[in-house]
Amino acid sequence: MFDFRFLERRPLVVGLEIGTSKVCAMVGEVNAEGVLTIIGIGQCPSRGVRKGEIVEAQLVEEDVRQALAEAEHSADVEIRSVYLGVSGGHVRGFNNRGVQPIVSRDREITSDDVNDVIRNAKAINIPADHYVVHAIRQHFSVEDQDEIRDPVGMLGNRLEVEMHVVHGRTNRFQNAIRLVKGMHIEVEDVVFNGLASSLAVLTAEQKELGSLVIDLGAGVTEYVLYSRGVVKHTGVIAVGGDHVSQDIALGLKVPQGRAEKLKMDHGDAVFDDSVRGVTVPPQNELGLPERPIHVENLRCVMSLRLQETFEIIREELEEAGWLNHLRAGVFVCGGGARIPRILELAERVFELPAFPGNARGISGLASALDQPEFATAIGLVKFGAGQQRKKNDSGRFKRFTSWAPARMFFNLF
Amino acid sequence: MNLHSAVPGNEASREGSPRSALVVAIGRAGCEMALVLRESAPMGLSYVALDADAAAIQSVALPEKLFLGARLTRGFGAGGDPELARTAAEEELPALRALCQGYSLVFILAGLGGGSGTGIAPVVARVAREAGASVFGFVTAPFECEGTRRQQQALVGLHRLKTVADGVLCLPNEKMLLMTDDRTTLLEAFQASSTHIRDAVTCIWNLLTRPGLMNVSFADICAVLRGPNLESAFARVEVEGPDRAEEALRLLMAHPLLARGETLRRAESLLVSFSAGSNLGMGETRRIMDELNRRSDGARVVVGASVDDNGGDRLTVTLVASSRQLVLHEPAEEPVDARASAGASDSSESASSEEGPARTARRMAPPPPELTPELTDQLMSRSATRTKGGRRKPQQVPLPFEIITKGRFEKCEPTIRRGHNLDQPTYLRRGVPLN
Repeated sequence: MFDFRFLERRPLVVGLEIGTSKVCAMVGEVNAEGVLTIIGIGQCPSRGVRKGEIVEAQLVEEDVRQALAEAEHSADVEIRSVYLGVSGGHVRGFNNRGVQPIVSRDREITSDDVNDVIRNAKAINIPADHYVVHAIRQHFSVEDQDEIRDPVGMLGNRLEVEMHVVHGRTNRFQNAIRLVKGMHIEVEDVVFNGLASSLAVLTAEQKELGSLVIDLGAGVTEYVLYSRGVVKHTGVIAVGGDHVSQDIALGLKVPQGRAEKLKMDHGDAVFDDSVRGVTVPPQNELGLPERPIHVENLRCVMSLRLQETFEIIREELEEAGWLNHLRAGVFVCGGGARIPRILELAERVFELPAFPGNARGISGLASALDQPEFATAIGLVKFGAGQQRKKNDSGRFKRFTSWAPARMFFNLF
Repeated sequence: MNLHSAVPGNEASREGSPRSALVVAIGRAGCEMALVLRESAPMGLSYVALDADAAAIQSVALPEKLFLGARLTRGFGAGGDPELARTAAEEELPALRALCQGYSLVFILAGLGGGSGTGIAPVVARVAREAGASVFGFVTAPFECEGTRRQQQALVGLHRLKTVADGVLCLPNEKMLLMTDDRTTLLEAFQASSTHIRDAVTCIWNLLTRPGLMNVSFADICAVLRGPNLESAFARVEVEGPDRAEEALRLLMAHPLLARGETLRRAESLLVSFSAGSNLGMGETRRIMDELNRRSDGARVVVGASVDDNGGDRLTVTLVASSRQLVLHEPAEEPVDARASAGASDSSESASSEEGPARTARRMAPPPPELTPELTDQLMSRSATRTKGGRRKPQQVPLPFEIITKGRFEKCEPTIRRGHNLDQPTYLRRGVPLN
């Protein structure tokens, strides 16, 4: 008999991350109870991306195609639309405030007022060629009363909202979007990679307590800080694992490929005296002799770079004044989380407990979920699932309100 | 504070052996400096002279001497060839090693640009470090009129020395011209630079050995001297009287080597040492430091104060300002503003494209990788063709910084943060030596 299951429209959510080291497509499925399950992964080594930005579109297109095909195969579905992760050194985040006077006679705040104040907060002074990826509302305040989650129905003269705005260069985002659209795949939304990782890694409680998520990618390092349940600070540093390899290649005078391998095999985030005088066996796998490498130098170069990256993040957070708001600690995800003792280094630099950033709160392929480099892709799926839930809810609402007589009925009052 | 507690990791010296520091004078210029230094005679220093020239070394009035390259140069000197001198020194490695044995601190004095100083100094520094000593280099760069070839050699030697020593101070002789006029004799000019080197050595030695009112740790000094600085300016003023703080500031600002404070503005790091009787006031120290801090905004400042009971009411302020560029002659039209142009200039150039006036000062650039002989030849031939091209006034050629390949990041936009190009390896930017 035919299998008609494909006719049932399963709500699929696909996250696509075009990263510097890999292109990864993650397929998730939302069941009737709204629980998200990861059902397939496709990935492909990335060739045309540097520092999180596309430099060779042709190669990227091939890689994306392959990753998507693999994901389709592994999940046994057809991918029509994706949530696209974006990143790059040009992405910035900052906090902004919107104000709206309440003009209605009874001073009651309506949902229209809320929409207006959010619109005001979005009308911000960003460069003309920048595009707002996320405008995340943090807190409302009515007159002088702060920390209000939902002001509808409250009374006041003035409504204010704190927003966190993430923006970046429109053209750079367009490059990725066009590339995906060129494959006849719809882009549902673009999501900042750092935000996606934090969605995958943190629990609601950790967001409430205050946590920092650092995604140490190959090309860029993204960081997102949550406090009291909302995003307070985001940032990108265009420094990543590639820089570590490059430093090793320059410092030890070895080719990039060997540097990469040395990093994997003998790398360590912390430099101590135990490796003084230790050399890497001067033979490669084929038994051919190679120049001996001092592990001491390797670790020194590596540790300095990683420490500097963490220190830059620390400085940025100190300047923004958020460093004291971290109570849950630091979470490190991305490929860099695999470096031995990276957590020790993070603990030392931030003087906070550090944890590996593994995805939580979703079920599915075990192989994908406990690996730190998939945090972004899983986060994209999680973001997408949240968006779809919202869309379905508002869709129902819209159907209801578009019933003309009812609206007339409401308008009477 | 005394040296024995300050120098880490040398148990033998902690027992209080008197011969704890060695001054290695290399080449003719180095010996001159050592003689000047010996006259003022800070306590506890032993001296040794090294040269590849048998005749020269015989005439030097230093007790201990080591002649290098008996086989290689037959005693006629290196003839201005650093490679020859280096080979000569490497032949005598066991002797050099024996020389450095047991010292916790080695000062290397040399004039760069010629054969002996340029070639031998890095070898001695390496040997001394391997023997467990900390190594500070005090070197001069040649006068501009000595020709571009010597300048180039000096640069190469300076970079080699920097990669192996704990700290290097380089004083360009050209700066001495600022303090002289047409009637100054050559001897006086060289004497002046020797005096400055002496001041620098004495300053650092005092910081380490004299009982300090404000302690400076060995690591502090290393940090100031180690960075990727290329040029240092010394200024030493002695003042007396009730208004000695104001007087000291006035003299410092009028000091020709500080170029009316311009050097301070460019400085990456400052080492300030006060030496006075025990009546040194907090107020005066603060007044001087406030002014210096204000003028050298953003520089790394290390302050030390030591008690010198013999001096009476005298206050001696010694200032060592290290900056990034090796500016051999002050720019005539407009002063180079390192800070303003740092962000813009760091980005795009490679070794081949940086010529002429477009090149501006850059605040952060790493010390270069070790120069291979081919690279050195290439640089030298480049400078040679340039002089042939008929430029009347030989310009200081660009420092061989951007030989560092950008590798994987060639095509992308550089990551600049606060004037630092993050694409360049951290260890280079911070000047951490790899062995």
